[in-house]
Amino acid sequence: MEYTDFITAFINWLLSFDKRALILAFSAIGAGLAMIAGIGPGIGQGYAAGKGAEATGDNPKESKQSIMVMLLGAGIAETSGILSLVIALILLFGNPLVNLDGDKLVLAASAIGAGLAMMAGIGPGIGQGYAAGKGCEASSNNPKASKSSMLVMLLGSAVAQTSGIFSLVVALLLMYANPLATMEGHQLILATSAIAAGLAMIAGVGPGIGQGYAAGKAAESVSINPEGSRGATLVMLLGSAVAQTSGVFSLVIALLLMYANPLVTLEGATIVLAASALGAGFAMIAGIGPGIGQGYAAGKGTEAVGLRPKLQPEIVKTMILGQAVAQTTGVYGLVIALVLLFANPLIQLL
Amino acid sequence: METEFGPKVIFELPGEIFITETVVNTWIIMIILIIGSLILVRNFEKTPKRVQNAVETIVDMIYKLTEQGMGKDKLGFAPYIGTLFIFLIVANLWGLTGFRAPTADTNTTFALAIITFIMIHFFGIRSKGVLKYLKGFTEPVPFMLPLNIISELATPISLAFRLFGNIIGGLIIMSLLYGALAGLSVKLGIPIPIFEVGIPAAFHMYFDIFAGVLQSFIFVMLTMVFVSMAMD
Repeated sequence: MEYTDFITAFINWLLSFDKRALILAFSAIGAGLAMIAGIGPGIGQGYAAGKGAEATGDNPKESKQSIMVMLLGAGIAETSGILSLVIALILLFGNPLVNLDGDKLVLAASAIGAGLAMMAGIGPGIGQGYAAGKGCEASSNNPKASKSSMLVMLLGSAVAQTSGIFSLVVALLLMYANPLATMEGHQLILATSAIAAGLAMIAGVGPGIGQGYAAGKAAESVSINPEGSRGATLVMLLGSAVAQTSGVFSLVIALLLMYANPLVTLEGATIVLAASALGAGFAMIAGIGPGIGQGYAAGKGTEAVGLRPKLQPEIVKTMILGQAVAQTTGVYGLVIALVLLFANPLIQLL
Repeated sequence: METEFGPKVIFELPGEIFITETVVNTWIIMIILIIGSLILVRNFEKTPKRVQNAVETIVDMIYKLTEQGMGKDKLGFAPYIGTLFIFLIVANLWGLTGFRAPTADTNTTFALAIITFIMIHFFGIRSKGVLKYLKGFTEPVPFMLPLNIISELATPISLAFRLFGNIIGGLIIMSLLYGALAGLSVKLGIPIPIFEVGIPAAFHMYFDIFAGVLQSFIFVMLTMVFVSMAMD
């Protein structure tokens, strides 16, 4: 039996290290995890560059303007990559966790949680890149409306950054104002809660991609029908707000894990409680799906309203109804996460 | 560094009722809005002059927004929508004054979301009748009943936390940024905190002004769409 209890063996092995060494080791992993966000800007900017090349080929006269829009959009798509780079550099060069008071396991796990949270940057990177590409295309197709299509693209891209910002907030909280480090409770539960908070934030990938798609479609529809731009912008914002829902749910779970963690005061086997925190974090990753799907609906709704502004009420109604259905699996994830945290049936089975 | 981002308790009423920053700031905003609206509507004439023109433009805009979001037959909601919109904008921008924005507290955002939730169901029942309203939960197939109930309950939760998350996110990032800038000036041995002058302005633009106005708009728009959808 002694050999099968690998989790205890692993934890004891971790605890055998010096506090500083353990935190530094886990910070290395966290820095690496944060950089995974680079997937997003890479894909997005590649798409934007492709659209830029296409636009130059289609309309060489206006290529200067469309390339400017492309570069501007691609610059915004870089944001999540830069934010991740900042977190990684802080972990490497100005690690605040080393000097914090608290349990070493919790602080070390916080570095991993911060890195995991930053992975959400994949979403805004892809989404904003798509918007940049579409903005570039729009500017080349209708140079007269270039300014207004670019403005809509920028507005949509700023909205698409939201989930990346939420993740940044969680990562910064874990690093600079970690409430778990000073919380009373078993170190293992607190440590897995820090990791789970980071895991939950990964759901931000979905809203980022979806809202970026909506932003791109809005730029496109403004260039096709500049007169419908008001309605298209409105529907884009509305649809994107709904597409944000899973990102918001993830933030709720992450904040609950950090500030009002119900697991630490529960009686029961530590390993079950600690694993329940992780499970809650994993469940929230489901939010990627609704985020992308609702964003697609928002984009199509925007397109439809842009083409036929008079049908706005009907289009919005269909869009919201469909988005509500698309939210279902995300709500399931939230329900399971809340059950694991507040009404855990596994504890009674012990 | 401070680790608490929750609202501070200002004083306590008997019976363990805590009066927090949020409540006091909401009172101040209420007073400003009430006195402001009383002053602004004084001496109205048939041909509008400067102040009256501005007020009428705002009221017109709110009615237009309501018409666009809910349809012509539901213009009666415009006064509530306008009040909500103006309160939210002032509350979200309140962080710029250096005080804590009341919307950076789940108590405020949930109160507003619950009003929307009650409106959705009250007006849904009133315009459809109880039976047709209840039947709506079993559509498109009766199997969807639990799912529909969950998604109805998820509406106020996501509404409240969308606003709260955006405002508290900005608040946390700004306070960490001010802390970092103050730390930088101390490290470089400059007694005057010069870094805290210009640099935060750009961040305030995004986190307070852009996010604040956008989230007010989104809260109001979603309220209008959900209520009008429940009615037809």
